[in-house]
Amino acid sequence: MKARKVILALVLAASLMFAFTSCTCKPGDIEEENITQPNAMSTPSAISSQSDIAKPAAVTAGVIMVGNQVVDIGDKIYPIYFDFDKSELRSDSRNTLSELAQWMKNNPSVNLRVDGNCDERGSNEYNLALGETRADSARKYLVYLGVSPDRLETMSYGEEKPSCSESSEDCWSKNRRDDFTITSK
Amino acid sequence: MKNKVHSLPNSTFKIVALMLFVIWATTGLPALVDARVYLELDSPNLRRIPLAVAPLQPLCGCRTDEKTALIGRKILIDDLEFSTFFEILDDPSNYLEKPKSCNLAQGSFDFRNWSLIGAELLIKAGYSLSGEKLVIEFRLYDTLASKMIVGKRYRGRAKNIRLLFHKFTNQVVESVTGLPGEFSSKIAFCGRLNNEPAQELYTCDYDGHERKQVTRNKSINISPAWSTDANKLVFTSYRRDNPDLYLIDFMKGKETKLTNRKGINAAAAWSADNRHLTLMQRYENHSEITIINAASGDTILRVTKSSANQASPCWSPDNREIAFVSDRNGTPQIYITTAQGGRWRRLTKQGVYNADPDWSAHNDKVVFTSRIEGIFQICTIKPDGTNHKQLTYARRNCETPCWSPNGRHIIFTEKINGIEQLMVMDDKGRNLKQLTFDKLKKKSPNWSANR
Repeated sequence: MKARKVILALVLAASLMFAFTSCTCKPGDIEEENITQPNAMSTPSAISSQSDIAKPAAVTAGVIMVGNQVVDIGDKIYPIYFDFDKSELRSDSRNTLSELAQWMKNNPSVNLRVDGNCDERGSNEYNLALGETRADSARKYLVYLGVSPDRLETMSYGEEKPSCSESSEDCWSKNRRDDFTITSK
Repeated sequence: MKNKVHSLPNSTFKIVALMLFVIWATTGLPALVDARVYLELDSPNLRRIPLAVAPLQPLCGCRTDEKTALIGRKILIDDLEFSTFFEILDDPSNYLEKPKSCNLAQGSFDFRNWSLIGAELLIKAGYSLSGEKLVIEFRLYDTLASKMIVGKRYRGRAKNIRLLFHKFTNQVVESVTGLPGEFSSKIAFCGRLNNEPAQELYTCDYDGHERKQVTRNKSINISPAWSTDANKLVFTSYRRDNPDLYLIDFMKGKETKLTNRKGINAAAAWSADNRHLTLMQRYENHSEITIINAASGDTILRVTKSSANQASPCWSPDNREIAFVSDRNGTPQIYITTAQGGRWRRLTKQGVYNADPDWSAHNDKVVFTSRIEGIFQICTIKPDGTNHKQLTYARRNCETPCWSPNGRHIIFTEKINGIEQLMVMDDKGRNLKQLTFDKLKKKSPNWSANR
């Protein structure tokens, strides 16, 4: 009896581990257990939760079109990133902004605020100015792509709103960014 | 201030002598009564004057309070040590005089007991503590000339004990150098705990003691700046979704919004008469230097007109010029323009990143940060571009330097074990001291005048 209880406990424990720690399971097991049929709302959310900065496709995942309707899944538009001490748009940022501009044309009631941010290195106050320029770079490009200037505001946080706080290039590169906030829709 | 100051003469002659001394000390005129010059401040190898601090005694008829005696003596020693003008003979076991007397007056002790151990100056202090009432009497003696240099009595509340002692050490430094000490000044700075989004403002004494949290708005608060009378503080806060400029009036206990122009309103600096502020504001979607009315917040002048970014303005001592940062030539560098705008010249020519200038009101030097071999270090330069000197050789970034009220010290932040701490050093980069050791990440220290 005792031995059977132990085995049962082990089996239970193993299945619990299987349920909660899917990453440690074999790939075959995951396919069977963890992929469920998503509904229309959660699909983009699942995609957007990968904050892989190299993927420009993640730009407008915060708001999606379902049929002809805008569905809000958390007002999240992904940032664009800058090189150290630079405010010029990188080519990946231009792609991202093109998608954003298209989405704004499709959603004409939405207004945005662009927040410029810097990494922790350098003067706090000069970084405030640099943040203004970074935000304005994105604003100018969106206007160039046909978005009405009335729909865009900018603000600078300098280095005061880091998304990551370690002193490493990996972290700094995530902090040199423009955030986009929906101010009205 | 609430703490009353009384001089301590005990004969008519001394009253006259002390009055003359006070006139001399406050006007900075050459001493008529006493021709001795204790310190030649311009001397390249300044000698530290040996000074002893007698253990504090209760005043006659008052009871002993060991805590007051120990704290008081420590403040005296720490302040005077910080000034860098004295060699403090601080170990009482080396003292020949074993005082039991409550009398501090000349004649009650033998100067030779002090000159024999090498002390050229002697501080004697006595206290009276009853409930919340604290009275301290101080005397500074010249042991070689066998005379009192300055005597003061301060009354105040026991909780203000540090300020009472700082006020006397200011007098000691003034007696010896002609310029008061900096010991009753305050530091304002921004602090962030862990990685919380909120960054609040704090103040503390020049030595890091008496820290107080000033803002509690749970927003991001930046770039505090004291008015030159130390009664007001301006700062920038994001609490209403735009970096607006606010003013705290400590005398009225009131906070008001000064300007909420769209975009940044930041890095403000007071003019010498406290009527104007120069700051960064947004024009044509980038940052320019402006001057506003410090009472109404109304714009007086846009000082710079450039398509580049401008940041961190500060006034020259005579307020005729403004130093600021600009990237108009590609990298952040320090420039100087007239306060009417128009003509400008580039100040920093070495290095690719120079920022955060602060122009001392007392010595003709600009302190700033410079990126040297990848690390931000503190440097000074004369306003004509000569005498460029690197003061720190740190392994971690040193940022936002600010002059002390007399231009004798520089406060800045250095990242130590992942936390930005307040550091202070003298104007030559010597006598480096870490002021804070706690977990709060500190930014943008700003040093007030004495209160």
